[in-house]
Amino acid sequence: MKQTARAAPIGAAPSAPAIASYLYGLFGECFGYPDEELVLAVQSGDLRRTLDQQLSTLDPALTAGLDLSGLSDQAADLETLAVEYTRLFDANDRGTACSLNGGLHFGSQMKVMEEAVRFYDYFELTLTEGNKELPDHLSTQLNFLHFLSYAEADLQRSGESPLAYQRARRDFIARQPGRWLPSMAEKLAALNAAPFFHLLSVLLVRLLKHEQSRLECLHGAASLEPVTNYCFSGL
Amino acid sequence: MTMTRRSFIKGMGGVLSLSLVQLSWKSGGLAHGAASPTPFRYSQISYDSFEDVYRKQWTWDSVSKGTHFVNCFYQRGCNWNVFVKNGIVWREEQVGAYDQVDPKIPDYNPRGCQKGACYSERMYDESRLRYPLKRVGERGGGQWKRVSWDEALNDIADKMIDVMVSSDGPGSIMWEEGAVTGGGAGMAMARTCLVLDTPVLDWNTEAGDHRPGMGATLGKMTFCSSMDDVFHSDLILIWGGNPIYTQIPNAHFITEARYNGAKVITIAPDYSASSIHADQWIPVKVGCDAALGLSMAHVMIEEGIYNRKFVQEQTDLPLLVRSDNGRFLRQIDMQADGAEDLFYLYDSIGKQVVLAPQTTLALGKLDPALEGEFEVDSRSGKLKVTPVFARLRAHLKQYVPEQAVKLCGTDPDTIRGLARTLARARAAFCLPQSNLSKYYHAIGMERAQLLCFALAGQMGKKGAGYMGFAYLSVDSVDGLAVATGQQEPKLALAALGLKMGPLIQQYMAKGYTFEMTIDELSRNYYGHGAGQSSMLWLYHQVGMADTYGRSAEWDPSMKRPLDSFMQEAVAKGWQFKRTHRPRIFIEAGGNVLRRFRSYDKVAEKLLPMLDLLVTIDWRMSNTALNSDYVLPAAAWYEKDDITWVTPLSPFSQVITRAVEPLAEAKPDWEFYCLLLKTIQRRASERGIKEFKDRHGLTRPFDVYDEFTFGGRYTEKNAEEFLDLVLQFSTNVGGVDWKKIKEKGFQRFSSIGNSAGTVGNATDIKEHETITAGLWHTEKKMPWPTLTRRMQFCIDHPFYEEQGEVLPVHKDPPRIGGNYPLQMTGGHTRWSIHASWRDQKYMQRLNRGQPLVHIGVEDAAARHIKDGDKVRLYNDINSVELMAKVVPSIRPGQVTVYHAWEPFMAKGRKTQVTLTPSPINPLQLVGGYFHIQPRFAEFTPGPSDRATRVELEKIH
Repeated sequence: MKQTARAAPIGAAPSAPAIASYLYGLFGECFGYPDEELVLAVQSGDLRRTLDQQLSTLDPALTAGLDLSGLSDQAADLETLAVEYTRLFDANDRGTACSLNGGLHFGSQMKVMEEAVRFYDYFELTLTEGNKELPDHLSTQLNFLHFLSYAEADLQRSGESPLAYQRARRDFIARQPGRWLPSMAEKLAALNAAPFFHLLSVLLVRLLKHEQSRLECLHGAASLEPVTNYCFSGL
Repeated sequence: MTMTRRSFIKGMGGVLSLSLVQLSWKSGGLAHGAASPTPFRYSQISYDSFEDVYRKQWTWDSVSKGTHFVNCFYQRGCNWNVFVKNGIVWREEQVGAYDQVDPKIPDYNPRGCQKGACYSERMYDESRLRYPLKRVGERGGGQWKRVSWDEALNDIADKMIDVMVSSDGPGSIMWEEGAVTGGGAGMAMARTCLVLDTPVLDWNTEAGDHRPGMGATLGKMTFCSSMDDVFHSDLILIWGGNPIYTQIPNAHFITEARYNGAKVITIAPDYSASSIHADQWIPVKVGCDAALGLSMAHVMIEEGIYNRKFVQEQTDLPLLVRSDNGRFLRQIDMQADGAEDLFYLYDSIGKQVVLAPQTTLALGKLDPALEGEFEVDSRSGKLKVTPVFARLRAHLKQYVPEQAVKLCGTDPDTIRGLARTLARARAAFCLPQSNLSKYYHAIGMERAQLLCFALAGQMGKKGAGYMGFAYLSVDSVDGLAVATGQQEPKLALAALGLKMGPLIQQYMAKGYTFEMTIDELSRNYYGHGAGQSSMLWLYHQVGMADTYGRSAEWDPSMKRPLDSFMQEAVAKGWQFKRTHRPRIFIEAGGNVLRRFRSYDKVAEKLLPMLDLLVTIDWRMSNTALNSDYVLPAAAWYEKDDITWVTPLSPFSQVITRAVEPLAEAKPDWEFYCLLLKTIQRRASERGIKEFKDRHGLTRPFDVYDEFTFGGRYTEKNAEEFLDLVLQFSTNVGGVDWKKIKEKGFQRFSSIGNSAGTVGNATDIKEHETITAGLWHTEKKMPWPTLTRRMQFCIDHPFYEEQGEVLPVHKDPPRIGGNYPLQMTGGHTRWSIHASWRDQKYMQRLNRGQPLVHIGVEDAAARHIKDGDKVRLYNDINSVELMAKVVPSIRPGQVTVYHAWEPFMAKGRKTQVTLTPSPINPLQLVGGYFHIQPRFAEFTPGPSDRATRVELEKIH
């Protein structure tokens, strides 16, 4: 359910946060359930080219040493991609083999979800009514990072201070997906995931590290005080 | 603009865009000046560090009432607050708002256990099913793809229609509901089966909760007091159950009774959790409880400490039996037009043989003899007759304690002491739960226990009794489940009443009590094929006769194979053999490929027969794993319903839709509506107008219209249907849905008019504990048996052939082969069935993997240490588990607690694959008034307890 969108020209040379915002949106879509559009993008090589180009623009190191051929496949078909997605993320012989919910990789899920909701709430966002995923789901968290990056780019463009969004992004990455995504990528490797999903996870881990590093250079290190040090507010 | 995946993938070409998908503005408006009451401005936000997000106080959007629609059975029925924010359940908390029934009696607050307390996390963990899945590749291969509900329902509906109009017909579509039975919207499956004329598995006997010895003795298994009634007890026998371990919300009543002076005695082979909290632990050999009970009965009779008045009035022990054949003296023996169900006793005052009262237990001026031999002039000449009691007394001499100790291992003095304690108790209560009914000789074991309680007169008085099958539910669901037609429910129920009227009149004319009338209606309905015994279905249609039918290999008392008994029982109409081959199986509440004994063999045979296997569940079970479609069900905090409960905690409990179902999950009520709607639509689209039901009658495919009472109660108004359920129920004090939803529960005002609950045979009073059986002991209402009394003499041909006309002890047969260890089991403390078996917190509280408990001596003899991997095996199979070496298990016994999911075990094999579960021929008995098949009772059960095994360390 694409609810709200806003578009504005950003000039010939997109800023780093603008690219990051786009990439978060793109990764969010790639980790959604496969459909024909995605398959076409894989078949045509558009997805690989776009990811390669945008990530390299941000920092060539993001794709360095990686064989990105797994992101394109002329023979890709929806059924194969969908079955693999389901095997990895929906249901296996013991339920979800590799959850896309961060709280199931790191820490108490309720506490992880609470903190995510607190972040969203602080920026006057809420889970979309009828939303199919929880606050710690990768797609939800990427949507939030997409928003924060967008805001940073927008404020930069209009000459206003993007400080709040940079710091929030630094903290959110460090405390939420930055904590658990590496573990998810490792699980995917252990599950012999199709190169497509494995590569996506590796690239996303790199992007998050790159972003965190950039933002920490600007504002200092994020606090990694565990969420579990904070009593669950519901208790 | 709305961004699509494609636009993201193609890149935005120099356009900075925001696309909120999973997130949206709290204000609901657009950013930057778009029409919105509170437009969001990026620059107005300040943020320094993550602590900022913690400064705002956490508040709840709502707090709803809920409970857990899982079969906790004896301990079920707990009221919880469910806390919600942002459409997510974050936690639950016990409510503690139960009113005190009697100021002198402890109350029920709070109720709950550790499983319920973590359900909010369970419903969001890895096991949760979120999307409809369609199998890809081989069954059980674990490969799926998502499909839409429409795609799934269309395909399922088409396959169902194909079968319904084929020569196989609707009888080849089998439903399975596990323990979802009853409730409010939870009865949707029963109504679905009504409109489709498809059978549903009658699983209770197969699960082993059918209490066959109770059924034979009392004419019913349902018979249960409220748990607070034990506060009136001065003796509590924990004999068969393990309530400290498995009845967490109820256990405090036992402790409180101790403070009120009650003595607690645990009788068990192992030093169980309940033994620790008892005043005395009496060990008994595995499966030898009948010998102990019969020895106690012997002591009570020989010492003259039995309750003579109770025995005379409430039991069949004064009834006369023929000395020539051991059968009851019936009226038909005395006169040509005599009845089969009128019996005689010898009145010591009038010194004559007289007909025993049939419509009341009140004896008036009669003083039935318990001893002596008398002569009557029968149609076939002079006959010697004697009271059952006299025969029983002679029969019990073989169980003199000095002999019984050789059978049950219990010291003779202990047996005598126990018998005296029971006989002299003011009010003694027995908690057998449903353990003994899972033994091969379950009938003998339960009959022996009941004999003790009958001789002691410990039934039907405050604080006294024998805990039978525990069940209580809003009573309108029975009628609403079977009311046909598309008219409004009131008219449909009236039509149902008119249809049943002649039958009811017929039964009343025979002098049947209210309870017997409902029982008879239930048998009548069952006979038409609504339910199908799981064990018989597996035996006949699935081909499990080669496993469940091996009884004679291990039971030395059988003179012919089990199949011979089976054929006779079927030929005489004692048990039903359906003929429809399985083609579609729909699992909606249970988990048969974990639960069926020898589920691995069932899977081997059943799965190839099926065109379609569908599971709807909220988590991935072993049955789901083998299914063609897996449909995501709403969790228990995501739907509205009324749960069934038990008299132990006599409060009708609700679950409420605290949050919307996660992802694409749907409440089961909605699922049934949509499936039937799809069947009706697809049949119409395919030009198929009708199908033939199992009785050869032609029916139209307007199944959705009929299910919804002409479109009045559909997938869109489940709450209105629940209100209707309450409106038509007679036993919840007139509460409506709105009120009960707000409060979370309502105490029952009566046991109601339901076949499942009437066996409790008692009135519920507002300020009193509930005591089962008062209708019999106080109102003198006959028991629903052939003799209208608690019946210890069963003169059925199978009982005669097996030498069990009177209760006997038989050693547990060597089921599984000649191995030295007896495997026992029981409900686990760390899960309710399999629902929490792989929940992370529960796994942390136990070893988290399939586990066998073994005693210190047996472990040492096999060089097994705690934590070792071991192989448990017999002639049937071999499984791998971890050994837990414990001092509480006796030599010769091993215990594997309940409900490991096969996917948690190596090779997907749990201890259940070791249990061939042979059928005891006595469980095929029928045609004997009260011993006839009906829902949940009087069909064959399992026999997994005391299966023989050996254990070895895996190096």
